[in-house]
Amino acid sequence: MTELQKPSAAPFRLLTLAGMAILAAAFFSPIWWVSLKAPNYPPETFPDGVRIVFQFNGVKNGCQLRQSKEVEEDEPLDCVHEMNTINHYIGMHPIADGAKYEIAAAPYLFAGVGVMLLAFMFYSGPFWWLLALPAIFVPIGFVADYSGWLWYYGHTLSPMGAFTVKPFMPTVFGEGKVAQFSTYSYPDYGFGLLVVASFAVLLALLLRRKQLRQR
Amino acid sequence: MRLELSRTTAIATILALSGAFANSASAAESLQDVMKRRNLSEKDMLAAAKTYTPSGGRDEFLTFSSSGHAGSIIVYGIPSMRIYKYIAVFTPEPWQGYGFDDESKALLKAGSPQGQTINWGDTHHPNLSKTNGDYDGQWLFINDKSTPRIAVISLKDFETRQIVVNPVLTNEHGGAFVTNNTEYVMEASQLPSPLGHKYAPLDKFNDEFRGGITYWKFNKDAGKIEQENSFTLELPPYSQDLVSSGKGPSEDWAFLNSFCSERYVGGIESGKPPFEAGCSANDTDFMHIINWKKAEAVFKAGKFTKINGMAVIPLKTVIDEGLVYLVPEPKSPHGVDVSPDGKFVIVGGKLDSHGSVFDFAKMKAQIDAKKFVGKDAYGFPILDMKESLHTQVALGLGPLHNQYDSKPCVVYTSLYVDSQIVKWDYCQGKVLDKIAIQYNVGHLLTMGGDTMHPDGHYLVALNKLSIDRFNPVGPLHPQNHQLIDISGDKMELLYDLPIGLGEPHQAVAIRADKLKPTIRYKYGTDSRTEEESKFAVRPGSEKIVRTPGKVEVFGTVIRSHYNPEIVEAEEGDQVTFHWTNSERAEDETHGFAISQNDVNLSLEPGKTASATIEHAKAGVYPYYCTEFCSALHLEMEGYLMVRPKGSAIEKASTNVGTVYTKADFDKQYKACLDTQSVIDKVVAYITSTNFKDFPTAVGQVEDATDQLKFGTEARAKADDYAKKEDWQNATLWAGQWWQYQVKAADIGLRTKTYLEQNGARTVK
Repeated sequence: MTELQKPSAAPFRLLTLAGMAILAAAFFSPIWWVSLKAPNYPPETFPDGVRIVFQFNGVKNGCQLRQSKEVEEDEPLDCVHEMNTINHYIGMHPIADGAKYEIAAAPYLFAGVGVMLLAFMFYSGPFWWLLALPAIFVPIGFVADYSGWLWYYGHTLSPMGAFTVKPFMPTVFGEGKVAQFSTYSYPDYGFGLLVVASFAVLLALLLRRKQLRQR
Repeated sequence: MRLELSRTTAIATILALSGAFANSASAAESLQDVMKRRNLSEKDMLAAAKTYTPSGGRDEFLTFSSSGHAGSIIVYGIPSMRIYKYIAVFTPEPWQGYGFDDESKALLKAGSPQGQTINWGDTHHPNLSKTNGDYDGQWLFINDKSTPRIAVISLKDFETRQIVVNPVLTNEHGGAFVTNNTEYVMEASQLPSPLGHKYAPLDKFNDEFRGGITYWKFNKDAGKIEQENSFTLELPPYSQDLVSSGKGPSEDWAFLNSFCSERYVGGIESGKPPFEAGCSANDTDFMHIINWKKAEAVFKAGKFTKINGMAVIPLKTVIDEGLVYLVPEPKSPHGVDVSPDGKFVIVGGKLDSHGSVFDFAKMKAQIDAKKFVGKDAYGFPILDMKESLHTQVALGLGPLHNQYDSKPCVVYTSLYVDSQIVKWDYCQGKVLDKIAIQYNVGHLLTMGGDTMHPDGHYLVALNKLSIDRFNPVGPLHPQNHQLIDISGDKMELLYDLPIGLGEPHQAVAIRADKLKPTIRYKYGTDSRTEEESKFAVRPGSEKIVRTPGKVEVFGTVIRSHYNPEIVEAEEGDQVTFHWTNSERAEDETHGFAISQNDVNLSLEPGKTASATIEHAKAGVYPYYCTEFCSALHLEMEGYLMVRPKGSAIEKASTNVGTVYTKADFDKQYKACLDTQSVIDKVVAYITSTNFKDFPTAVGQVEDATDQLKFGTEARAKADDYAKKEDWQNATLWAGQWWQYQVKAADIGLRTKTYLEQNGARTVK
């Protein structure tokens, strides 16, 4: 086979690049959201319930500034704060306690994943495929870490909490009920980005394998 | 004639306007049109029909609601939910002159600790006086949580009559609850402190800090709390909460909740968990079962010590004499409410989702048999919780307070966390119905719901939050009182009342026909004491008394003048006004405001009130009437003239105002005679009927006769001056005569209309 007949590396590199870009975008995107609804958070006034959003760069307020002709409001309700206030009644840890090392490490981890993908684009030595695996497993890794933390929150209730609630596993995906609150927990578009990036890199990996075999 | 004319003009104007908007203002709207335009459902219309009270209509019940830290009481009607009045209690309120006249200032000062005046209170629980466990419509009591105090309000004139300061407690929540015959008003502490307003360090909390419940002796005839006949039971330093008097079989007992029996002392600033955490750690707290009848005997036997002037039965005596027993109750409870028959006590769980129904007979049996499961840290005997309970019912989240229905075994409980009212059967122990309210209900209210014979029919949810239920009025939101129809099997929401003052806690409602307030005071009454004021004077005997450094005015007010109208004083004088309203006509209140001074009097018919200006500064101070009392209201005015120190009173010159001649006098006099003939005709008509059968007419005739009497006096003066050919004074007094005539004629005509409309007969 001549040099010209060799299969091109361009498609897999492009896919990897795309995966990297999408991952970078996902870093700044909402990955998962949780919302609480209760009688005293009427939907007309709290269309989002008490909603918080999990991102790699921290837990963000998921409550929007409400559109009302009747009242003047210049900042949305801080629902991270509101959720902490609600949770303290059952002795739950404040949100800031959760995943703090992961959040602190996230920029480096993402940078690391990026560097590995870069290397993946050019390195073809032994175990070359290992360089692509982290990017592929980011979504699964997120769900695993998220679930772990939810378990931790539901099982380390302080006995000093005013309301005694049996330890429980908060819902990871879907709807649940805790005391008077209906809880909602669903992936946001950032999780979609993670999945797309994951598939892009997986596809790149397969292309690369094919290309290397043909070489 | 003029009235006719103006009416015609008005109609013509309306017609012209409606012509211009011919499309919109066609025929009157039908009910369906209105429903469509206002987007009202059939259900809304039914609720409207159940609450709407047509002009002049009356309510079935009157509600007395606390206004929380606004320090007053709000009076509103049910089912109309119209607010009638705010009764000033701990907080000054100028409309009623409360805290702005000398009399009420003295009352507020006497009702404040250590010689200061506290000008607010945190009112929580209004309660009505009872006879045999039912409201007697005489007295109303309310507590101040912040500075433990009890106020007595007379339902004769809806005015605060007395405030007593608790000399031993520093914070309370369990007031002002009355025993079954209002023998005592109970006031139980909340945050423990050393008794008697003393200091002790917090590390001696268990030994030096105490709770307590004061039994204030109430003299129902005098309407006075008697501190010398009152006593306090020393209690452990738990946070005692609400208290409820027994009824019937449990009449001699009272039931007092507590929380924080952990005796936890917080200190978040030094790294300790806060009070809210430490105070809700245990699964149970203690309900205190108090034998107050026995406590009264112990007090009368002299087994007490005096602390700060209050008789206190010490902890050890309380235990030894068997005055208080404890029974565990679900932790951090709130409401404790005795059933109408006095057999059960229902405790709301607050942090527990159950309503716990304690059986008095079961508890009494354990007490009688001295069968206890243990003692608390102080030696109080503890009853067995299981053996004391009749039943426990899962109600929902945050059950707080309980109110009873007229139907047997039916009780309503507020669910704070769930924002619901639950209706349940406490005999059978089952939930009957639930209704959502908006939002976070605290207390709830049924008609006569804490008496031995509740009236049923309506319930009001006293909601803490209104969030988005009303037109926005800024960050501080009104609370939301929601009227609910409980006459059927299902509860029906009828009406939302925004509370525009304060943060009501509890409210009580009484059948309107049990109240019979007065419409005027006996002549010369100090309304704050309901006694005759020594400062009252009759028309004709007004005077200004001058002593060195002091000017004291004894005056009268009537439509529409003050007497005296000009008061002279010297710089630095203490000037006191004592005004008596000599009106007898209903709703003829006058005010008295004087420029640049913190004075406003409310002078209802017959009332005497005073205002003192301590060190008058030189200047001219107009005073005037603040109540729009008549067509000549704006002319109801006067001057306090404070001349600079040492200057002499200038003699009034004659070139002031208009000069009147004989012609002016004759014209005025003729007008008076013409008016008199009209009055005579009306009088002839009235006296030709059986008007004496109509109390309203009789009252009006009395008022009119009063006015005519004043008129006759003014006429005599006019005649007198005319004889002396002093046309100036003769004209002015003839004018005054005419003023009285106009008032008399007005009342007479109203009486005539009333008699005609109410089918008065002609009699000989």
